[in-house]
Amino acid sequence: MSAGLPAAGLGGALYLLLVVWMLLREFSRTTKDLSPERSQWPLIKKMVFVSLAMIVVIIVERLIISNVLKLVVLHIPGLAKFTMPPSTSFVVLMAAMPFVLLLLLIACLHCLRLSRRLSKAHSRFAWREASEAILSGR
Amino acid sequence: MLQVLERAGHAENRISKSSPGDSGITVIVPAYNEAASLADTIDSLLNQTLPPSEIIVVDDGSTDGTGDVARDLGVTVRRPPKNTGSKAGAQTYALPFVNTTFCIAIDADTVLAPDAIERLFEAMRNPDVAAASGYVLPRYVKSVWERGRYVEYLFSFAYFKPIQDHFERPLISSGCFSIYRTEVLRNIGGWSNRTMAEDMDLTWTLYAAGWKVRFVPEAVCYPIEPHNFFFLGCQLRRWSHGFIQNVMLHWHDVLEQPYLRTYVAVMLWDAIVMGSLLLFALPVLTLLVNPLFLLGYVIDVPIIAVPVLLEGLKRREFRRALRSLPAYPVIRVVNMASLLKAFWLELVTKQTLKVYEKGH
Repeated sequence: MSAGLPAAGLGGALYLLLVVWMLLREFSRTTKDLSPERSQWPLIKKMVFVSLAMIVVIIVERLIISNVLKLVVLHIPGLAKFTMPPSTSFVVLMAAMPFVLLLLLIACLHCLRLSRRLSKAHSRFAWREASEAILSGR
Repeated sequence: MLQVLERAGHAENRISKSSPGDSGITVIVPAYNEAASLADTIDSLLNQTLPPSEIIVVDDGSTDGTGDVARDLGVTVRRPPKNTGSKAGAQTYALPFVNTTFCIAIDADTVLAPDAIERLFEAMRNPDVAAASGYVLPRYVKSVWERGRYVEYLFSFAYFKPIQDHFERPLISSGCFSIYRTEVLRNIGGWSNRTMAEDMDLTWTLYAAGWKVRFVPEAVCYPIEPHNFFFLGCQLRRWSHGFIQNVMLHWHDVLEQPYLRTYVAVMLWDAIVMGSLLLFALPVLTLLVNPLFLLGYVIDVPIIAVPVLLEGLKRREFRRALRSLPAYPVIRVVNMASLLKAFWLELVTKQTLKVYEKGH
C-alpha cells in the first residue's frame, strides 16, 4: 500500500530530491574511489531517467489541460468562469509548495531529535546531581 | 521495547557474523486454512535453483486439511497446541525448530520465481545484513483491486524501493518473502505480535540494533492479493493500523535513522494531510467552487504511469500495466480512507486493533 499521494504529495518531492542527492553522492564517491565494482551508476542513471520523464510528463500534462480548457471555452463560452487560467506566480507557488513543506518537515524532525537529545542529557545531569547530593549526605 | 533493543544490541556484539552458505536455509511457511494455495507455494520452493535444506509448514490450527496437503508433499509440518492468532505467532512458533544459519519466511499463498532464493541469498553474503526481501508482484491481476495493487507494486518496487535501498534503509522487509539470519531473529525474540505489521516492526527493530536490511529486485515472488473489497478491507485495516502502531512504538528509534525518519514522516504527512484533502476537501471544492477540482483525483496518474509502464515494458507486461492504470486512483482512495480511519482509531479514540484478520 502506498501511503499518501506518491507523485503529487510530499512523497513525490522527497523522492525527486533523493534522486538528485544520489547523483551528487555518486559523483563525489566516484572522484574519491574509482573501483568500478562498487559503482551505482546503472541504478542512478535509470532513476534520473525515470525522474526526468516524470517531470516532462507534468509539464506536458499541464499544457494539455490548459489547451483542452481553451478549446472547451471556445465551444461552450458559458464554462469560461470555471476555466480561468491560473497566474504564473500561482503555478510557481504551487510547484514550490511541496519542496518548501518538505524542508519544513525535515527541519521539524531535526528539531525533535535535538530536543530529545537535550532532554535526555538534562535528565542524566539531574540524575547525577541528585545521586551526588544523596552520596554527600545533603 | 527497551529490553528488546538491549537484547538485540548485546546480540550484535555476541553473534559472530557467520559467512553464508555454511548450514543452508530453512523456509518457514505459516498457514491457516491455506489448503487451496499451499501446494503451489511448496512446489515453487521445491523447484528452486538453490533448494532449501528444510521446509517447515506451521499448520496454525487449520480445519481445511492444510497440514495433510503439506505432509503429502513431503515437508515438515508443525502444529501448535492451539491457533497462535497471528502470522507472527505461527512464524515464531517454528523458530526453535530451525537448525540453519538462515531462514526464510514466506506466505502460504505466495509462489517464487525459480531463482528467487538464490538471488535473495546473495544479499546475505554481507555479514552486516540481517534481512533481505524481494520484488513483489500480484499472482493474479483480474479484479479492480488486484489491478490497483499491481500498479502500486510496480510503482513502489521500481521507483521507491531501489532509492530506499541505495540509502541502505528500505522501509520494510516484506513479510510475504524475506530471508533472515536465524540467530539474530532468535535474539530479538522472533516476530512480535505487538503490532499488526510484524514485518515493519522487525525491520525497524533490526535497524535500531545496528543491522542492515536489503532489497533485492531480482528475487521475485508472486502472492495472491485480495480479489474483492472484503478481503482488501481486512488487509488494509491490518496494514494501516500496523503502520500507525509501529510509528507509535518505534518513533524514538526511527528519529535516529537517517532517511528512514524522512520516509516515515512524509508517509504520515501524505496519509493525513493529502488524505484529508482527497477525501474531504476535493469533494467540497468540486461541489461549491469548481467542478474542475475533480481532476485532483487523477492528476498524478500520468506521472505514476511513467515508472509503471517502463517497468511493465521491462517485464513484458506493458499491456497489463496499461490496462491496470485506471484502477490506481480507485484503490488509492480506499487506501487513504483506511489510513485516516486507522489514524483516528489508534491515536484519537485509542481503539487499538489487536485481532489479526486474514486479508488473504
